[in-house]
Amino acid sequence: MAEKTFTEALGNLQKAASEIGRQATTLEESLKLFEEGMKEAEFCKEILDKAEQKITIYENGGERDA
Amino acid sequence: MKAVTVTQLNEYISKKLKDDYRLKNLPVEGEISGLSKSGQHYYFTLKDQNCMIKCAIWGTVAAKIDMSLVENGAKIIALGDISPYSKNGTYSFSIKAVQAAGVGDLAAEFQRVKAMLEKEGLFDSKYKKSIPAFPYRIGVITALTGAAVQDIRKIITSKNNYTSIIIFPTQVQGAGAVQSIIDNIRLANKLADEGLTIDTLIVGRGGGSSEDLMAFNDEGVARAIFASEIPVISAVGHETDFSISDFVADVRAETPTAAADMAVMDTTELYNEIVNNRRRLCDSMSYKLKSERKLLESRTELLRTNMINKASQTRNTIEKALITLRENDPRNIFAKGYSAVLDDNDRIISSIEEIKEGTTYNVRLRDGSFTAEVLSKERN
Repeated sequence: MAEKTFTEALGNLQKAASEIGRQATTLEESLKLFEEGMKEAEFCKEILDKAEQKITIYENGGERDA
Repeated sequence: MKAVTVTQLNEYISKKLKDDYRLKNLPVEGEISGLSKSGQHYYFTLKDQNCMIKCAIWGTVAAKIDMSLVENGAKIIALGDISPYSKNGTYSFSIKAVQAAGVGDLAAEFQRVKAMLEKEGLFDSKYKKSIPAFPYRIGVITALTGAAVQDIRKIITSKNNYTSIIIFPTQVQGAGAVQSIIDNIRLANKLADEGLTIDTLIVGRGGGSSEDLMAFNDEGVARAIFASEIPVISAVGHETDFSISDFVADVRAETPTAAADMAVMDTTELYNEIVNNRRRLCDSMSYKLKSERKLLESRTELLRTNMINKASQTRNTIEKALITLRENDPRNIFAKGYSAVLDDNDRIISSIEEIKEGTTYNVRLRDGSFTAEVLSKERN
């Protein structure tokens, strides 16, 4: 389910980055958006950093390296 | 034992074929596939359900016949001779005339299946699943040996270092291809039960003749794709090839390369996206803090200035009041030689009307007072 959470986190990050830039956003809201946005960025980065791409062939009921 | 040479054997067979009048001016019905042109000559195979034969239309003949009848998938009746080629031990059908024999069986079958599935709603957009933007694992249902699997692998690994690929070796043409494709689509879906979740399936193969691609026009394959819970990208042949699989899949890719390209995101771009957004957050935050601090400073300054103004205004008011008070101090009037007449209640009498003759009043001066009796009064 990494797909859902990564996509969600990236979406949240993009939203936070765009909302924080608005004139009407108060300082309190900005601080909250900043904190949340940085957390999402860290989360996304961690997923990408931990990538372990594997290429396998599924045969005879199991995986083997391609 | 005396052996014959290969040449002798081939020439003997060639002669036999050439001499057989039943193999001359022979009308043959079949479907055209694998059409190619070399110089002025056309080459293709004529086929029916079981067999095929190599055919040639030589340039001199081609100029005389309606070549619009000669296209892949067209069913024709061709008149020609069997031409042996002793050097290779092969033979082909040398065509002299062509006439149409209606729509080819494969094309008719394609239309039949397409119309039926379309009527059943299998192509409806409401059934199309969206392709996950960030898949963890992609299943590839194609031949293990072939350009398609290599292209898919190359594209995915060149732009993405996150998504894993699991290849299901599949027979994509010939007898057994249909079952192999169906089995692997079902298998890929079933692996979720074993904890091997596949986010996206690419089902397809590289280019080929219409016969090579026909498994992807099969009704059973179409139904297996439709039933797949994993979103399916169909990638069959080249840009110009359309298969039933393309219509029923969640997304059609023009080629296996295009399928791989749309299946995964570019991880370098994702990194940049994250870094850019983080920078935006930091920049906005620091700008916000700076502007809030400035606002705070200016408000504090305003408060201080207003306070100072208020204090100085109050001081002015007090001073003005003092001046007025001083100006109106009655002692100053007495000092100038004026006096005041007071009644019994110490009220100042300011009009002659209030004076009663025979009454005593107190008269106050700068340095003392005395009592006076009114003997007479006179109005001005």
